[in-house]
Amino acid sequence: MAIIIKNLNYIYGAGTVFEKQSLKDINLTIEDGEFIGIIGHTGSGKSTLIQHLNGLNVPASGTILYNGEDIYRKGYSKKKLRSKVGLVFQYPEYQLFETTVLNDVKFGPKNIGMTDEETDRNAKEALKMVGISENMYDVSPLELSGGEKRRVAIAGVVAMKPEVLVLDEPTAGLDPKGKNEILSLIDKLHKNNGVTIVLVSHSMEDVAKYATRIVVMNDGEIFACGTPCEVFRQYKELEKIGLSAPQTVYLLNELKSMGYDVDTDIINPDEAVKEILIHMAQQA
Amino acid sequence: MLRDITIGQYYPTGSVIHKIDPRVKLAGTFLFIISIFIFDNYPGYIVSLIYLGSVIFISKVPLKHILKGIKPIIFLIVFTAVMHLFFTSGDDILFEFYAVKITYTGLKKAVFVIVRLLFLITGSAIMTYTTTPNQLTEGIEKAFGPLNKIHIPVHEFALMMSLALRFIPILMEEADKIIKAQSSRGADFEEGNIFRRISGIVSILIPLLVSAMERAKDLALAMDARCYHGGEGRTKMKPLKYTVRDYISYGIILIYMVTSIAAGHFI
Repeated sequence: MAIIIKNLNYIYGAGTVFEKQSLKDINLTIEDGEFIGIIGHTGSGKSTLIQHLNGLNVPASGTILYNGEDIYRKGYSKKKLRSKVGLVFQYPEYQLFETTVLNDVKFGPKNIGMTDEETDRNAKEALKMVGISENMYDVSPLELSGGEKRRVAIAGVVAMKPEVLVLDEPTAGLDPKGKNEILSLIDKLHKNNGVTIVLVSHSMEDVAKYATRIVVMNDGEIFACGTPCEVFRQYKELEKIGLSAPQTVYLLNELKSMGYDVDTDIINPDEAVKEILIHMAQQA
Repeated sequence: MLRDITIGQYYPTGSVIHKIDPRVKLAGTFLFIISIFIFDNYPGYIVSLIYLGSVIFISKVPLKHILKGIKPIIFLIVFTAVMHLFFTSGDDILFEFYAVKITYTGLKKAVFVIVRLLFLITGSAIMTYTTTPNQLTEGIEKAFGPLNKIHIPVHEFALMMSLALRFIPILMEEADKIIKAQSSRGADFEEGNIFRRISGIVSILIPLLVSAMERAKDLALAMDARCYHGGEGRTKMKPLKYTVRDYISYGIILIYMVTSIAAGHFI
């Protein structure tokens, strides 16, 4: 089944001078097994939107259906929802608090009522997946490096075995190596474990590389939505709202305008190289 | 959740009260608080109510917002009032039921304690609603400046206070974020057994404490990097200066003090 967002409106600080409508009439369906990338500028409402997916934010109007059920219905178990829709916050390393790495990862599974055995197995599995070796299980999470902390924090959510994993800028502030590790981990979860992924990012390259569908947010509204090709075809419109397309899109479009008949829908840098090489061969 | 605590937060409306010199507002609040404790009869409080009401009206801070700020402390007020109501001894018994005895003096005391606490809290809240933390500490620093002569580090105290105030919203926001993050991991704060709830609260307090320490460390470094060395020889970009508006305000405060005390004592 899927997550269906219907006419969602969210008002921040309702009834005060600080009032601001941060989401305006959002309609979006997230199918099972999708990898959705949400991009947008700071303050465009992407974080606010994803905090609705597991019922943390309560909308002013509109609703969200998870597997056909209204998550804001009275009596709907938020806890159960949160065990199905895992949310990894921005800078999740700030949520680490337990005495050891392993205990911290166990916190989530234990809370949602898994048995001790399951908890232990899932925690170790998750840690292995994020590449934390066994000799670090008993270390205090506060002593780890930034990238390791981030991975442990993500493991804490992965260990809950969510069906949908929502990540808010999971690579913010990491070096290129750490960034790639996290992204390939997410990709693995998507491909091998069949987890539906919602990835919030402002790096076009990352989103373009992994996402099957891209949602562009601007000023609390969905500005564009579609496959990476469809979205990046509008690269000129994206520029107007302060975003940009991946560099390959610019390069190929530039080549096309110079009279070379290249396929401008290519986003992946490797494929772009191939395309250009083919054309060069033809020219020669 | 935490955003519901509105007391003490600046509420910009750009009214005259917002523009008054912070020293005037400090003195005004201080004298107002003194005034409500020096009399205990109705005429005095009616004068106080009119005064407080007009200040709120002029400040343009919505009454609803102020009442929302009082909400968290209603329990304290009710508790104090009940204590006064049941445990004041006296001869003028109004009502008696086995061990429970309510006296007229007790009732009167309970009413006054409610009025005093409400006035005290709204009175000081209206100051923080209309004065930014920075203005407030600047006012305190200037008002207590003379104490420097007897070697009391006024500037350092003022700085500590402004830092503490500055960090309240930041820590609140952070707490909000951590609460959300831990809720996403299924933490319990309101339901579940006591152990689960304690572990839920611990999961918020520790990260909050860690990040507060980190912030303090960063701030100290940043201040050091800019050669901060205390208040000596430090000048202000916009020093506080009294204007006509402030002298008028002092006058109004004086008139209030005289009328309220007169009403409290001689009517």
